[in-house]
Amino acid sequence: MIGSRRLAAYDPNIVDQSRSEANFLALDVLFSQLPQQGQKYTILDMGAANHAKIEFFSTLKCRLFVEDFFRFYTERLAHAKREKNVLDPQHSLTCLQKYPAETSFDLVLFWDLFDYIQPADLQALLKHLSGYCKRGTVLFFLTSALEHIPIEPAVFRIIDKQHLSYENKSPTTRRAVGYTQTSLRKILTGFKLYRGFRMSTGQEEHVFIKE
Amino acid sequence: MWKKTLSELNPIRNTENPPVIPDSGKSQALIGPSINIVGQLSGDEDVLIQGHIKGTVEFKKNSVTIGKYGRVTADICAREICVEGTLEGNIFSEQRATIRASGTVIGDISAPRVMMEDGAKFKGAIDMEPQTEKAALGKTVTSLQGKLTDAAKTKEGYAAAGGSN
Repeated sequence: MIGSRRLAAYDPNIVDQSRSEANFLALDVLFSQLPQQGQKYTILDMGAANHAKIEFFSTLKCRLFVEDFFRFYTERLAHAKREKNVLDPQHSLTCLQKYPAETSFDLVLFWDLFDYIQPADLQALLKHLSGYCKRGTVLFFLTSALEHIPIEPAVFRIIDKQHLSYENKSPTTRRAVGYTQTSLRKILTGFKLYRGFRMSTGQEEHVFIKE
Repeated sequence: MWKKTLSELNPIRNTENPPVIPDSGKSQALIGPSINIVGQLSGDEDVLIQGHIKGTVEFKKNSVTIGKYGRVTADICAREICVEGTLEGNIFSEQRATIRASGTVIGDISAPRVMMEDGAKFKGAIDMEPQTEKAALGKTVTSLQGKLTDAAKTKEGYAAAGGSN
């Protein structure tokens, strides 16, 4: 289960750490929660699109929103720094698309972004997205139990409903946020932990469900 | 806001020294890198866009390719659409939409088949339907007018979302 013990630092020189396979609990949970026959899913992917993800989602009947959030978020931060602008506390929300009012996500994939978004921004983001979630919405994300993590999020590829691969070749590292169950519960108001899983790589998978 | 973001994403300009575009050998109209078009672009032949276009692009029976140097701010309706450059707008394709690794798309995609190369930049929504269901429904992109109206709404949404910067 999920814990707060810190593991050894990420070492980009160890090949096995930069490319791994992991379980993928979110889709399993999603399909066990919802009726599949004729169901059209609404899925939000906060990560970047890639060939494997698109191929996988094309096997489902769904409307897929892709945010590539980290790219837009970091560009916004860099731009503000260059221009010496003070960012609005809600600036992370302006990196999002505007969803149609009737949008109600079945699945939100945050991948490892919790470790890459400033806590205040993450909280604002979760509060905003919560408005587009319904009872039973599945929220999937990973956090790191390592002391140091790659400086950029990993590239995730969905292999099938049970497996995903992730790859990170960032040469530099930084300190991980170090989330605990308590701190996660605090920022995920309105969601309850459905399942958590720690992998040997030091990554922890979390599936929360909207109450 | 989106314009700023796009220019940050892709700093290519087509003003003073337009790049030399190699001839692909395929018969298609070319909108060269020094050309700027504001308005509606339509026709009955395949087209390669390396210039700047702002408005709407409609080639229902043909393919549209936005080349590496192309920068398009428009909704595109075509049989096949391939993006190697930058597109800010929605894609309506009757057959296939392809986003190459060098491509950037900010907008929604409506196409029976979507191909996205690793490294492509995409922000928007895609409607996915398994092939069997698509065949059963016989769904193609026919209601262009309605979709363009929706697209306009989405664009307003993007503008509103980025309005505070």
